[in-house]
Amino acid sequence: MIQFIQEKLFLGLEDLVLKREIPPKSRVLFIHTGGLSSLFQYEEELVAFLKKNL
Amino acid sequence: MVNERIVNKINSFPRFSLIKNQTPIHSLENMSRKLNIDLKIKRDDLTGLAAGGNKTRKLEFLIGEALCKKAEIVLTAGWSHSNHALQTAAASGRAGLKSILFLKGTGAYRGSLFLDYLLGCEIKLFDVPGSSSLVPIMQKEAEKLKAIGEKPFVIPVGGSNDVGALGYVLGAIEIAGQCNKMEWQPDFIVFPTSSGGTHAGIFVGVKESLPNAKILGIGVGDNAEKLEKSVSDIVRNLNKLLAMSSFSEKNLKETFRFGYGFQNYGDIHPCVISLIAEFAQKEGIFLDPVYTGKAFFGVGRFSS
Repeated sequence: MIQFIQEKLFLGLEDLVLKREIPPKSRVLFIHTGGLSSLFQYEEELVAFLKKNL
Repeated sequence: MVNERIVNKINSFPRFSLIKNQTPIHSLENMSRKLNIDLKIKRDDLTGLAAGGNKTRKLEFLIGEALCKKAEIVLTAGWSHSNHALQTAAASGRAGLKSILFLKGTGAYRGSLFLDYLLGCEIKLFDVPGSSSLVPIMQKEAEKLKAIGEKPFVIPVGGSNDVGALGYVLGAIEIAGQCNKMEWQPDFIVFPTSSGGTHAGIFVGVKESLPNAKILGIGVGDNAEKLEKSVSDIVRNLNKLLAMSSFSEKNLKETFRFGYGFQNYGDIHPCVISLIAEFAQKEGIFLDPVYTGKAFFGVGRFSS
């Protein structure tokens, strides 16, 4: 089910602009929307990747 | 007071209480240091229903509407890892309603699917390209149930319609109240966006209660054009529901950020897995691979 997309990350020209969108020292609120249980749906694949790459 | 008028209006809609307390906001000191920003997190993963999550806010109003319409059975759809489907089954059970989940997937009963099973809902698995393919199947089942005298209530994918989005208008007002108390006003509010209801509710709520904050909805792999239209439609309907003035399509469009889906919804990129591990090790909080992992990856990119 899981698909590890190995293509090099390509974020495009737009991202070069966006990189500076949140300036240093900005106050940022990140909303955690949940979904912990889905981690366990992919646990074997995630562990295999982490063992190999980290 | 604008907020008071909106809150009173929202409180006039049928609602089934699922969230007993405000979810916390706290600092992420290690990630703040790494990114050189003042980063805080709104813990809507701690809403208190099933494994927690943003869908609880929407379901308070969607289940409220189902009960108001005397429904007996709730139908919804999503991927087999869907937290929306899981939360819908849990909320339905708490309200004394049966539920049927139409899920994309053929996998083993683990993760969300295992919890769906524990909740005792009916699970129908389909090998389809995406959750939108499940909508006509679900509608057909609802018709069949009606024909035999049952009272079905269909909740859209992600709980994303105007009624569900009311929950996030209140969510944004809750955030504003907490920020005022902390004397900390966010410059940016960042969240994952997929089916559109959360995005629409936050757009409307933040505009009213934190007008100086810029919101950034990080697309997690859905079709950009369809998602923008979906959010725009929900905002329009939400404004009608709340008798609010019209909004600027341009302003709404500026709140989307795409390019972090890593091909498609549900595809998981190694960068995101590494970030999930780093976030867990630095902050003791788990992001998920489909939504929050990708959204947070966006935060790092924007602030690097």
